Amino acid sequence: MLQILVDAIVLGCSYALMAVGLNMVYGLLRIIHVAHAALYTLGAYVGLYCLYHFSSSLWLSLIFGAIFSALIGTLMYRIIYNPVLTAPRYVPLIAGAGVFIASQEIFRLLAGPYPYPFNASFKFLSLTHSHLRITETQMLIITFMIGAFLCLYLVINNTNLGMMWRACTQDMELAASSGINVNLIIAVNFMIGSALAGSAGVLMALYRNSVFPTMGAMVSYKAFVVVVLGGFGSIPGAAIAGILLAVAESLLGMVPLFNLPREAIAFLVMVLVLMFKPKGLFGR
Amino acid sequence: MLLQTHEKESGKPRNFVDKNVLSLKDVKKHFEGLKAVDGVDMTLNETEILGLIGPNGAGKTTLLNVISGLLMPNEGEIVFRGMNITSLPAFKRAKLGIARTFQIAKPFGLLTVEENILVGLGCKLHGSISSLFQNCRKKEILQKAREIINLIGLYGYKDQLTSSLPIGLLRKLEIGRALATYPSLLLLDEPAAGLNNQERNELSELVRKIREKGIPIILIEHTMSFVMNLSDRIVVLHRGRKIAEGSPSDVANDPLVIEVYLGRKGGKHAS
Amino acid sequence: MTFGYILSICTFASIYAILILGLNILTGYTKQVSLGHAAFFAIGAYTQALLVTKAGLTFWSALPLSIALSMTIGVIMGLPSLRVSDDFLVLTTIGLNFIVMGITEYFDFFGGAMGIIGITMPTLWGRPLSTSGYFAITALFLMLALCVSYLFSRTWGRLAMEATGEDEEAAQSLGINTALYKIYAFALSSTFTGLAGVLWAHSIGSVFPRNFSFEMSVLFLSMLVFGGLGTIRGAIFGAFFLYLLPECFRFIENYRMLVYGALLTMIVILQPNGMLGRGGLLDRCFSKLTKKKAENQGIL
Repeated sequence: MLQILVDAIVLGCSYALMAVGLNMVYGLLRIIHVAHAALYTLGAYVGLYCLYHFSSSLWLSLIFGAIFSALIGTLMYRIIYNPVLTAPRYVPLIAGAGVFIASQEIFRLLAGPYPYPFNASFKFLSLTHSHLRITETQMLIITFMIGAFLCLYLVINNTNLGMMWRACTQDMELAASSGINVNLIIAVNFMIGSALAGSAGVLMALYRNSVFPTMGAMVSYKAFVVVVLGGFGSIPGAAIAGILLAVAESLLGMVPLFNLPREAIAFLVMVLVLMFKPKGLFGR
Repeated sequence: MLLQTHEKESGKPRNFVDKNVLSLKDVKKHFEGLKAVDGVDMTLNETEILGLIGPNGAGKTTLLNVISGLLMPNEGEIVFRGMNITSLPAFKRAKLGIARTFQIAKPFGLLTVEENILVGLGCKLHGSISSLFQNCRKKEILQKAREIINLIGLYGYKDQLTSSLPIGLLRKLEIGRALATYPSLLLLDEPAAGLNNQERNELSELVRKIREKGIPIILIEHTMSFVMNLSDRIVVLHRGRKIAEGSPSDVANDPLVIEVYLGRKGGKHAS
Repeated sequence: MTFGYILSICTFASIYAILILGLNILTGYTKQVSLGHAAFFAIGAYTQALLVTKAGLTFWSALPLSIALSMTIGVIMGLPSLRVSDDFLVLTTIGLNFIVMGITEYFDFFGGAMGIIGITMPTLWGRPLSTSGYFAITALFLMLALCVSYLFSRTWGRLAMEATGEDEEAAQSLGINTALYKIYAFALSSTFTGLAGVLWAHSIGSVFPRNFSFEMSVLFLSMLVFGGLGTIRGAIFGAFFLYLLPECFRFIENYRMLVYGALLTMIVILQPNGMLGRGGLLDRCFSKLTKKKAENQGIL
């Protein structure tokens, strides 16, 4: 039982890391960034490439995965979202969906449809108790998630950059007219979110020991659910809801009547929440 | 023809004992502590143009939204031609004959000018299952649409998508669309905002024509000359309360109004 | 490219065209973007498959039942639209897609992951239809759907739906019960889509959960957006063009989703009204060519 809970929490960490990027973009631009999933897969593939061609160090592939995702994520904003910011709200969403579908195909064409193993050697804490075993990878993911959220929280609340970011989420035009470089803030916003998605990709590739073109799909669908549950634009909400969702999925999956596929359960929860609280559980 | 139909539409309610077209009793609308409309009493008589003025944030648009049903009042009562409509949704009020325009013009951008008018003409029919089967492009309906388009002077733009029209024409379109519902009360929310002098004159002309057809009008406006010339009576709102009421000249000379609204003494132009 | 092969791809293209006509009512008219239309498609196909294989009904007797059920479930699935709108509604439709897929995959009643096989060709006058016969039936249904769509585009209902999609407040101020028209749109749309599902189940002979994935929903939306939201000509053009493109140029087949995805992104950024939509690229070319503004611009 405890073991299932730990496994669920690790999974929840990956949802949360994905959801936070989506949430930051939504908070700033009111866009549902469907193409975010592509960055998760991109991070995993870049990490894999590093592993095969440069060194067997996990840390290097984690860093490269994050940087590459951050770059491509920012580029995505410039090319895809920037031109359609004033268009009706479904336009950026459809544009993002197009990129997401195309990206899966690009990964398949470049790397082939088959899963690659992701063998990286690294040293980290692990914990083994009589019934409970937290592997090094699980420990790493949990630590990374906690660290990332703490950093983000501190940056947003205690730095100049964070203050400017908060100002932009309140009112973009007002922020721009009071001398804040809005474009820079948006770029940084996409960079951070994308880097987190990329590193989540690397970490989950390590955890599952496989990298394949459609690996981003499931986790990003879950991330939507997490964003809805946690409330659009709320970063702590994303962390809590991510873990809650993973735990709920695992527990509900054990109830005989509810042994639907996990994504069906997740979306069922989301639709129900939207019906009763259209702005999400912790929505502003 | 348009005129005749209006006579017919507005002939019925005259049987009511209550001579007022519209009366508000102690209407309140609060947004999380902000008292946007804080106990307003107001009446509107037949064939009257009532100017509703007040500084920014006085609650004019909120009051209009409460009357048209887009917002529900927290307290108070709204009676329209002897009927209590306080809890009716907006679309039912529109069917009863309350039509409005919006401060920020809201044309249906992917429809042509003619189709925009047609949407209004269907007002009474909308919602019924039969609306899904009935052809809206019958000759006589198009004829009515054409009359309204002629009245607002947009005939040359009949088949253009409204998303491509300039603001001056959009204002007229909005009024035309509202007229198409055969209203017995018209609410105009800053129809002259963003218009140049010539357009403004054309607009006053249009508003007068509408009044001649027997439709009472509530007019929100910031441009003093415009509203003072058109209105029969003026109501001044300030912080959600009515602070003055009377003929344009009375209101313009009211010391309280001059203090809170016109800012400097004897000024004709605010903001 | 044998004759039979050409007939069968034409059959599929016609089926998709019917579906896109349905999607057009929902997404083109009321602007309720559905990224889960494969779910509505699945309901038509699965109902028909169950009625034919398990209840032993014929194509013709099962058809009205399947369509009626599609419409009913369509209305139920449209209920969230009364509470949520815009992006939230899109997420809800994505969710519905996964829920329907999950249900068909995990309940043995729906055949599970193995799907339902053995859906035979319909019979006419006691004889099973040939490929060409089935194509004729599909084409007839497409014609019917076209006629209905065209007639509907001239009704008050379409105007009210477009008004609802453009601006709810303005629509309400003109007497339109926007909630009702959103549901009407779901009902009509799922009727068309259900019909497409029925025809599809028979032409392919089997239904599997993975036939109705999220990717299919994206494909459907790309067809409509590519052709032009809110126009019948756009819906037909989008469905035929995007379906036939990879069929005619086999080298594209391998990159199908790449082409769809890239096209969807490019079109929506560069030509938000689609190729044949109101004010779209080809639309403007045509009006220049014909030199006169078409009388019914924006209607057909």
